Amino acid sequence: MIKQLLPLVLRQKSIVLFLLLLVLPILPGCMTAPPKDFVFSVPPIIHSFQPDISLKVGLVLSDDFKNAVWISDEHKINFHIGAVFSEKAKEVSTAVFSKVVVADTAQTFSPTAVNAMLEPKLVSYERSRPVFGTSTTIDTVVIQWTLTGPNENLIWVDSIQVDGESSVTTSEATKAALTLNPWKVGKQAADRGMEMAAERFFNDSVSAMKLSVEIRAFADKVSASN
Amino acid sequence: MCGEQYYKIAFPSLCLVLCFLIAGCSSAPRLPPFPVKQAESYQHFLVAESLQISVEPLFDSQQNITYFGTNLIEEKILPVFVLVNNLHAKESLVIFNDKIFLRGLDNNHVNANDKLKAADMKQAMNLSESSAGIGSVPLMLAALSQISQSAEIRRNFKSKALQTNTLSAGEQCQGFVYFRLPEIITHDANPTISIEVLNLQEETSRTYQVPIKLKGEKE
Repeated sequence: MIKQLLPLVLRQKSIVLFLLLLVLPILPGCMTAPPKDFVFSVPPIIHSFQPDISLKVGLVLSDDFKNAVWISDEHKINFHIGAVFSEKAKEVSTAVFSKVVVADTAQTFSPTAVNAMLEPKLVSYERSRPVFGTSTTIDTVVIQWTLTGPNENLIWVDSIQVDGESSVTTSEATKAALTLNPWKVGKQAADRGMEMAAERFFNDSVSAMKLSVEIRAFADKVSASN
Repeated sequence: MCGEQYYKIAFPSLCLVLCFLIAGCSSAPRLPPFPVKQAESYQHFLVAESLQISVEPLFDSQQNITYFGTNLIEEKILPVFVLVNNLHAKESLVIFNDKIFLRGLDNNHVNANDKLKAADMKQAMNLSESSAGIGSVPLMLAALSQISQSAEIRRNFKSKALQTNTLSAGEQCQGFVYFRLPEIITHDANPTISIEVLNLQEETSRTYQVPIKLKGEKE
């Protein structure tokens, strides 16, 4: 297509057409109607952490957390963020604690079945809105971790706040404009941003738990009593 | 108009329009972080039982615009910066963001339920979602730019909020807590920021009150 258009532009010295060609790649972000549901594709985290805190932990993934959806104001798109962070929550807990059992509610666990219960809660998620397809989008997510003992006593609580940044590259935008499939390119960029946020969430959560003196002290108390 | 004349007029005009569009419609820039200073240098400061609490309400409109991209005071929203230092040698404390209150501004206490919700923030931005549907391209881009700015203000607003955290011995946490201001503030009001802190070892909670001064009041 470019091969056909370029000689035409150059022969007629049509700067107008040339400028329009330049503008085309940066507009697709705001000119297409995306689907109503947006499911992120985020791969599992590859890490070298060893689960060195000797605790049997019940990971509570509530329905609210698993099914958390953020609806964008301008397009009314449902961003399914709960699915991403539920997977990351499993990866975090298995990277930190020696044994992890997953359940929907805290009531599933009998007081003797696990040493403690760990529950993530989505505090907030916001996504900036770029004007052009090639501008940077920022995903900001805050997730609160709560670790409670068998008597529901609070052991430790921490909020992890991370950003993920993404933008459509100029070559991707050009490709999107020429193939008239900008949504696919936009999705790839959104996935990249979410992957960055998820990776930062994983690293920050693992560090916070492994460095927590409160969790270590509780684990020591449990091993001493066994 | 002949071809040459056409290009002489059309080319610079088009370039000008494009420059205007690109400059005016790029994504909203990230707002700067609120600078964290020494605990003692904040407007309101309290030390009690190995706990340091510094509080700074942002009444100043210029500061509001710098750090939040909009004057929140005009929307009857008071952002209060809170810095908490755990000076204990061994004990850990927990700060809950939903257990911080603004009291004594009016007859009614402003409690957690009155804290700003995302929906209020959207209202405060005074932006219509349908504004992006305007027919002409420049107007549409201007509207999109406004929405972009609004989204960034909302994102920044939430990312600057104080979060619930455990403070191990020697640790500190900071962030903003937002309160809905009453329509009328009485002159004899003695507002305080009330912060509930849980001691993890003792499993006891204690509330600390930090008196704050209203805008224009002398120290």
